[in-house]
Amino acid sequence: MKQRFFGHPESPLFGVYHKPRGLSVRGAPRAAIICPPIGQEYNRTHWALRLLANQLTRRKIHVLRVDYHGIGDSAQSIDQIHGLRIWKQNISQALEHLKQESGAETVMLIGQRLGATLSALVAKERADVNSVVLWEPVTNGRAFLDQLRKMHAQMVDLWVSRMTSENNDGFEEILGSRFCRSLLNEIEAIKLDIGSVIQPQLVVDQDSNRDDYQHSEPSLMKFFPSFRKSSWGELKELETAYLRPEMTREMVKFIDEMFQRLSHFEALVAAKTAKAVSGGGQ
Amino acid sequence: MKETICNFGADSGLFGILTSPDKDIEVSGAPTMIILNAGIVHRVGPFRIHVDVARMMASHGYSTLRIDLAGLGDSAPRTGKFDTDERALLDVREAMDFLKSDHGVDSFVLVGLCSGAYEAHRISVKDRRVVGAAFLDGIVFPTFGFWLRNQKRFFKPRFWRNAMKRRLLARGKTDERDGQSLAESEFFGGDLCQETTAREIRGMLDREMQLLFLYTDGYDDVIGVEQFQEMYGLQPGAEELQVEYYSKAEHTFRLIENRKIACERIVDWFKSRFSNSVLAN
Repeated sequence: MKQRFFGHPESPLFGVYHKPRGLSVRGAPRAAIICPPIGQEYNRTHWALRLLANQLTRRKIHVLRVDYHGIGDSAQSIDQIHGLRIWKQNISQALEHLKQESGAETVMLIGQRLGATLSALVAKERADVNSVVLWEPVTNGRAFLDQLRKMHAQMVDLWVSRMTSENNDGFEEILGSRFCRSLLNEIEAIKLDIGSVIQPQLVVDQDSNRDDYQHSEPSLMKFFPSFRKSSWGELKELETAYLRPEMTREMVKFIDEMFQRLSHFEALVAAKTAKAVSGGGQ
Repeated sequence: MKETICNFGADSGLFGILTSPDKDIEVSGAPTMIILNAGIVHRVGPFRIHVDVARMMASHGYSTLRIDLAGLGDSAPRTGKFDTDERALLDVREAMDFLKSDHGVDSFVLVGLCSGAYEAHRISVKDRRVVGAAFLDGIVFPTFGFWLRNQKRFFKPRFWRNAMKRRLLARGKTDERDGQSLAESEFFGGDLCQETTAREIRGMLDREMQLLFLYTDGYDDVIGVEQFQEMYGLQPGAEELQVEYYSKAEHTFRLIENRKIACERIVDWFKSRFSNSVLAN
């Protein structure tokens, strides 16, 4: 496990690179980027995503966990992020960095919550993304923000004394983070169409069922329901670590299988993936 | 401002991020601040408060190391034989050794919230390189005054309103894990003694350590700044002993306004004690 700053030295990104030990698997290197949630969800999931990375590394997968600008240890504060474009660029930077470090030609994106949504959006734009894992993706931005705002209102309402958040036309405070309105507007407009992502995908969702995720090419998508309901909308869980060890183990098995199939279809090689992307996944 | 990855300790398994100021504003000879984990939250701190403090410190010319203790965040677990009660002490000593060898710093100020404050206290007692400490919602003991002031809470309508609303919100959502959650006092370990803690704080003051105690209303076991004197028999307000109570703040400073006040207070306190002019004398 190697922590590092990368990207532009004036505004670096923080990442943790998990390099597999021992002999690599036959064929092209396997590599994955973990894209975390944002805000307090980032803090809640930090440990779970570290465990996920460790387990993937044991399956000979190179993993890079990245913090976006304004999140975690990366440069800037969240109120400096004016749009989703910045975070999508951050994932692309991480992707280039991991390709360079691991020697992989194509990379899997594993995202959780808004990180999953960003992963899907980046996958649509890049031919060197071989597949995506969407862990409880935010498919409806308005519903996501409504949930966060509701929790924030409850939190302030139950404060030790009467308090209000100092919001204005430019910024809004939600659960400890000060968001730029333009960013919130972009999040609010999200309506993620899973079917428009043509790379193979694994969807992990506890609160939805298979029918919520439609794909024109069903063989490209695997839906994985889980054992326990999520608690993203519960105020009392706001500072509780999000741990799902059993589900993580299952996910790792699925991801390993995905890599085996990608390798079988030579999709770990850039040219083949690019051809598949340009050919609409046929 | 520059942020640097720091790996230190056995096999370089411990990890932290050093936030350093630009050279032209650096206060030379000042101690480096070391921020410890709050509970199991990794080095960014609850609601990123540790990042805010470190960057604010750098903008005033001071360096800060935010660390993950062994087994937390992105630090490796400590292996081999050691006394588990001494784990944080060993980790922070290795951080201080690293800062001495790689950056030439030989004095330190510890900052910790909740369990971080508890560890900061224990380390401050045992390592004389620590010249100051800021304890956020640190060790407290119930006093008669606390009991009296706590009774007054029952006469506030907001207390009952919030209690009822919390009950309603939690209805039907109880989890079996709730029954296993630890009380705050259990979290701090069972060996705490009020007399010993008071003696240790007096010992720190005798060493001319600079101390800042911040308490919040969100911390269940303390009400009012006066509880400090009731607990330890020490009168706050002296130059080296500052105590404050934030009646509008939650334990982890969830609201930006409260967090900003706490960060600014810590940085101002540090500046006033370790400025160029103070260090020159």
